This record gives sequence, C-alpha cells and structure tokens, in this order.
Amino acid sequence: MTTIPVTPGFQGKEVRLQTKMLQEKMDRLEEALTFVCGFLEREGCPEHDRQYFEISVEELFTNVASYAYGPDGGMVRIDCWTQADPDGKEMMISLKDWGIPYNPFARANPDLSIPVEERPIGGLGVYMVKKFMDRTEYHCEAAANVVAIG
Amino acid sequence: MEIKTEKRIDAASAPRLDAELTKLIDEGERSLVVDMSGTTYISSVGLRAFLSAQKKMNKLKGSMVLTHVQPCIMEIFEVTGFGGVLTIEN
Repeated sequence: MTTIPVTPGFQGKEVRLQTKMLQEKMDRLEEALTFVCGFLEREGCPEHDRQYFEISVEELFTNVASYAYGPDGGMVRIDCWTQADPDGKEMMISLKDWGIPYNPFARANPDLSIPVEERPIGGLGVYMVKKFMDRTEYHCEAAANVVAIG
Repeated sequence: MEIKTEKRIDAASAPRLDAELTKLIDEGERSLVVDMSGTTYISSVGLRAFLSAQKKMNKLKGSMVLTHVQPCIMEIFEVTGFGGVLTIEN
C-alpha cells in the first residue's frame, strides 16, 4: 500500500474520492491514465509510486478492454481514493467492470526461469501489477468485477 | 543500426516499436543498438516487443543491445526478469 506522511499535527481523519466512468476501449486508456495520475499528483504521491500505479492501471485497463466484454463493449468505473489519519495517507485505486467474471490476480505468475526462446510472450501485465503494488484485491459484487490496488 | 526509443513505450506507442524492430530484422539487420536514454515509462506491451525482437535475433544469431537505460526502466527490467534476457549496456 502506498502510504505517505501527512502534515505534522494532523489529527483528523479524511477520505477523498474521485470517480470516472468511461468506455473500456483502448482509445480511452490515455484519458484513464491522465485521470489517475492527476489525482495521485494532487494528493502528493511520490513520482516513483505514481509510475507504478500508472503502469498497473494501464495493465488492468488493457485486460478489461481486451477480455471483459464482447464486441458491443461496456463501461469501466475508476475510483481513486485516499484515506488520511495521523499515521499517514493511504492511496488506493480500483477498476470496476460489468463483464465476464474474472479474477486477474488468480492467474499463475509467468515462469521467468524459462529460456527466452521458450518463454511465452503474454502473462506479464498482471505479474507486473502484483510486483509493483503492495495490495492487489479482487471481488465480485452485484455482477461486477472489482480490482483494487494500492 | 541504432534506433532511439520514445519517452513512453505504452499501449499506444509499443506497436510502433514492435513494427520498427520487426522491419529492421526482416530487412536483414543483425546488429541492433537501441538507445533508451529518452525512455522513462514502459508497460508489458513494450516488454513484449523487446522479447519478440530478442527471440528473432537469437534465432538468426544476431544481436540487440539496449543502451543508456534509465534507472527507473532498469528497475522494471529487473523486477520482470528481463535483466537477464536482454543485453543491456549502460
């Protein structure tokens, strides 16, 4: 989980949330990333963590765009939120779709010990998310897939 | 032959990199140098483009060397196990 310090003396508890709904098409990816990065920057997320969030959202969005829906497509809802208390500020991002039930984090990690000639081309995206993020969660709610990272 | 990669190698730009590497190899290039000094972002689709080119080069007994790799990109190569797959010279 990405946690950054709060202003010294901060005693309260504060939750901030921003949401964006957009079509799951790949040509909306840039808009999705701009939204997420803008939120993280405003919330003071360090550049290194922001980049890992950005790559992770690209991988998860690409998964939804590629596999969640049929040819008619569908929507993705992106929620970014921070929760601050005197111990620090936590940041989480979730993507929700209403497509085929699928837990991307249940997929086995690629075997990186395989020689390059035999190594399959795919399977890297979700592995990167798991490596870059401290928390990766999936749940299915009311016919929707929700993946959360932080 | 030396080529220079873009600032971001993401879902939008990786197909261009993949097409460029494929074209050069198909046209007979066997000694590729990829200057990555300007690249500060790479997602899995970019890694796949490099993996695909490396596989072709290995088969053809050619070489592909990545140079001037930024620390943030090097970290991604290491985490994903690409550090040992690609030839990197900084």
